[in-house]
Amino acid sequence: MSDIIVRVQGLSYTYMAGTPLAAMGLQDATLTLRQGEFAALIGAGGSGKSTLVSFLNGLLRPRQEGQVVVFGQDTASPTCDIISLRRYVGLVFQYPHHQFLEQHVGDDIAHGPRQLGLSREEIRERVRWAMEAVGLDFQDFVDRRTFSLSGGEMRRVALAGVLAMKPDLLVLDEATTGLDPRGRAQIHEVLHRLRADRGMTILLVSNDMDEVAELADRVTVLHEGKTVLAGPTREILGKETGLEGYGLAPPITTRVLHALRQADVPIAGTPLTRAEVEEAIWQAMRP
Amino acid sequence: MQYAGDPPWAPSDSSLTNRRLDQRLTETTEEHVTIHLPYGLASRRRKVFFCGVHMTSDPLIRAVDVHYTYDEGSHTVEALRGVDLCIDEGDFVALVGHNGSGKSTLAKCLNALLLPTQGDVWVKGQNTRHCSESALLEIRATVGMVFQHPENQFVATTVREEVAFGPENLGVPEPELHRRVECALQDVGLESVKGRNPHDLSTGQKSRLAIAGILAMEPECLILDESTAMLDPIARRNVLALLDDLHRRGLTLILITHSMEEAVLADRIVVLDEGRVALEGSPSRVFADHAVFDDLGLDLTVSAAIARGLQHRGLDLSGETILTQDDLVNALAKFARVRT
Amino acid sequence: MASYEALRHVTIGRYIPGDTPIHRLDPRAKLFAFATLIGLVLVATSYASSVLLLGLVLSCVLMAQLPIGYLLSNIRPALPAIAILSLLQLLFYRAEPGAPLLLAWGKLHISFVAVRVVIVSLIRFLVLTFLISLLTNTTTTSSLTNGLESLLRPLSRLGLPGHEIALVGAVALRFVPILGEELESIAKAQDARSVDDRIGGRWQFVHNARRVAALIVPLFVDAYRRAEEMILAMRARCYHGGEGRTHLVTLTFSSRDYVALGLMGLSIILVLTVQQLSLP
Repeated sequence: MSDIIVRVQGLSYTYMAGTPLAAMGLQDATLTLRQGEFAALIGAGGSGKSTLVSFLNGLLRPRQEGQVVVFGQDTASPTCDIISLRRYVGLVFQYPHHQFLEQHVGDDIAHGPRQLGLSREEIRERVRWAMEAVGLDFQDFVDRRTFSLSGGEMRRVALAGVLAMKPDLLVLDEATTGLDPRGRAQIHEVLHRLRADRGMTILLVSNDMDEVAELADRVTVLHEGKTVLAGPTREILGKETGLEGYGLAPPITTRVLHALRQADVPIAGTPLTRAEVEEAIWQAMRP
Repeated sequence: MQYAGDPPWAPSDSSLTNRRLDQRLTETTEEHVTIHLPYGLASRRRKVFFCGVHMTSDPLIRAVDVHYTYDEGSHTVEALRGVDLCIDEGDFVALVGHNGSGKSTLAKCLNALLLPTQGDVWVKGQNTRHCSESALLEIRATVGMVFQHPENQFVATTVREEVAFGPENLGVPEPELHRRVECALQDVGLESVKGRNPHDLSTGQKSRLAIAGILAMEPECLILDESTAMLDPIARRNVLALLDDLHRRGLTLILITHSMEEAVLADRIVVLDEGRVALEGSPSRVFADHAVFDDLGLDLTVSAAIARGLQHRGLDLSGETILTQDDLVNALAKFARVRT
Repeated sequence: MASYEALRHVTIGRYIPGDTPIHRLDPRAKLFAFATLIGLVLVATSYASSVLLLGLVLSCVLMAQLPIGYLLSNIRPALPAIAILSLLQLLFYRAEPGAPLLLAWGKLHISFVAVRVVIVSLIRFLVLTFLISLLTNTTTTSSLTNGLESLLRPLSRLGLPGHEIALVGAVALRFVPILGEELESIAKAQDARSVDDRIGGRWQFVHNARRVAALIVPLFVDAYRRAEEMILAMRARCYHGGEGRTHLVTLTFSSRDYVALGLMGLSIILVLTVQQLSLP
């Protein structure tokens, strides 16, 4: 299919292979991303999520088993143009300050576009656009120091720095973990808009099942480096059982539905998000 | 930032000498009250070091008009602007609020890691601003605190030694020291990994180890500063189950969290906003205060949000308090029964 | 690629649980032996004595059941620097005039002395890393601090804060692997944003310097934040210096330790004798 932009197959990776310190990172991981979808990658701590996303823009390349094809390029091949790949695939990491390269917010967001050899006006325009996209006021923030920002602001600046490259695929590695509800809601809002306005493909790495249930169309579950489940979010997170073995639990909405059905309240269909569940209950209970 | 008490490398007149500590320990066992805490597998005896203080009527912790101002060099930040709070023995309090609302600062004031710039905090009748170095240590042992990143708190390279760090500092002698370490490890379910390096544990185990390190000091109150934020679902569930267990056995809990799903497990929710207590009460009371609650921009629990939505549509759930999943399910099941 | 993992190879400071004669030694005996062996490393400059020293240390490593590869992996990140240094030393070591030459090619002179210096230096480096690993991989922080504290006790009468020095050292060692992992994460996060393929030529140097600076700043910010949190957590657990502390691990000097020290004394004599005999 032509709309597949990422295809990871049978990927295995061992950290420090061949030394006594060898540690398994991935073992037979599989991941497929289609153009324009909002996908999620979930798994307990240490399941290999971060390792897997490092392959998507060539930070790591397959050395042992498996194949990684991103935007038609096989990253294992020596002729693969990793640099150009990084322009298409934007990675936002869990710790925003790790990816800051300049002292001031404006400079940092401009870091990417500057490398593309754009004109000053174009760069400024991109910075302005990226800051607007993440909901940061240009005038207010452009001259602030990156390290003086609050946690939520740092995440948004880091996101803006990646967006300024106008990537086709945006990967967020636990980019909302540890944020307060307000900061988290702001990031969700940004993702919604990016999808609606630009049709950006998004891969969200998270261990918050409620968040994934609300946002993602499709889910891939990693367990001990192996892809154990993949499919529509509704199928995977809509079941009451089956995730515990992987250190995960179904979202609250699924648990509520399950309990209601156990209590003989008939709810039709397979609602998953909060709005859907509310609607389904309403349909079942309306006077 | 200036923390309360003198740094350990300060002149020794402010810290305890060996002899004084020994003396104190024997004194307490002989002369002072020993009370039996309901929690603890072996009978844990809590030594009460405070002389001449009657704790029967006093709350465990009382904060009155607490202000705290950080001095950031060029400017000052008012983190707390007059907080009043009472924590009774056996309470389970959830402290919620946005980042920057002053939750962590308040928590650090409650165990004398910070001293209020204005106002007072009493722990078991002892004012944190006017007490001796030894009383300060006793306050910190009474009100234990676990931080967000366990990795940053570990001092030792084996699980056992990590748990022993607190009681070692308190001068707990053998064989009591060994007993405490074993008890704490048993309580959190880490006996099987006691020889391992904390660095090699899973994230869930690390959190439980951090809790064990505090339990070994035999505290009466445990403060958890966003200790569940970084955990995956099952590890979080385990830590919450552990906390529930400790609370049932009589430990006072203060849980700082962003998750309303966790906050409703508490007996009381305290909402901080811009350094003040904006809302306080039982979860049902706090959630019932729609106007203030929404104004603060707080999340409802998923179940409460669904219930509210249904009510807006015209489903009459007005007689019910719906906070948790069980509340919602029971209310709807009742509703369905009544209708048929 | 693999360079991101370079710092994972540093295993100095990681305690590896075990129950071997070396693990069971009293930390004071270990510290004493450690200090003595470091001293011997400085003295042993001949092939025979340095190889003997390496053999001694290796036998300790075997006794501690530490995988040799594990220890060797420490050296990996430093290999390029070692190679360059060795080469420079080989080329530019100034032997006395008339010293026998291994190779003379145009202006290039490599003397036997230079070769010896390089090889002995390599062996010394190896012995040094083995020694540090041997100490830190078989001793827990608590017993290391206890041991160091008790060795420094005589000095504390002179006002030296023995306990504090010991604890600072132990905690610093514990942070080595954590900061290594952190650096890996920072390097990855920053590389993900580097998309310029035009950098090169004479600006490569400036670029590299900027890159190192960009890596160091967040690392320091993190280290500082971690340290601050650690201080707070230690205070929350009633840490107030060494006074009045009790110890879970009590130090007992057993017959095993005396035997070890005796063997230590023998090896000192052995190495020094070999050194005297082998060098004119």
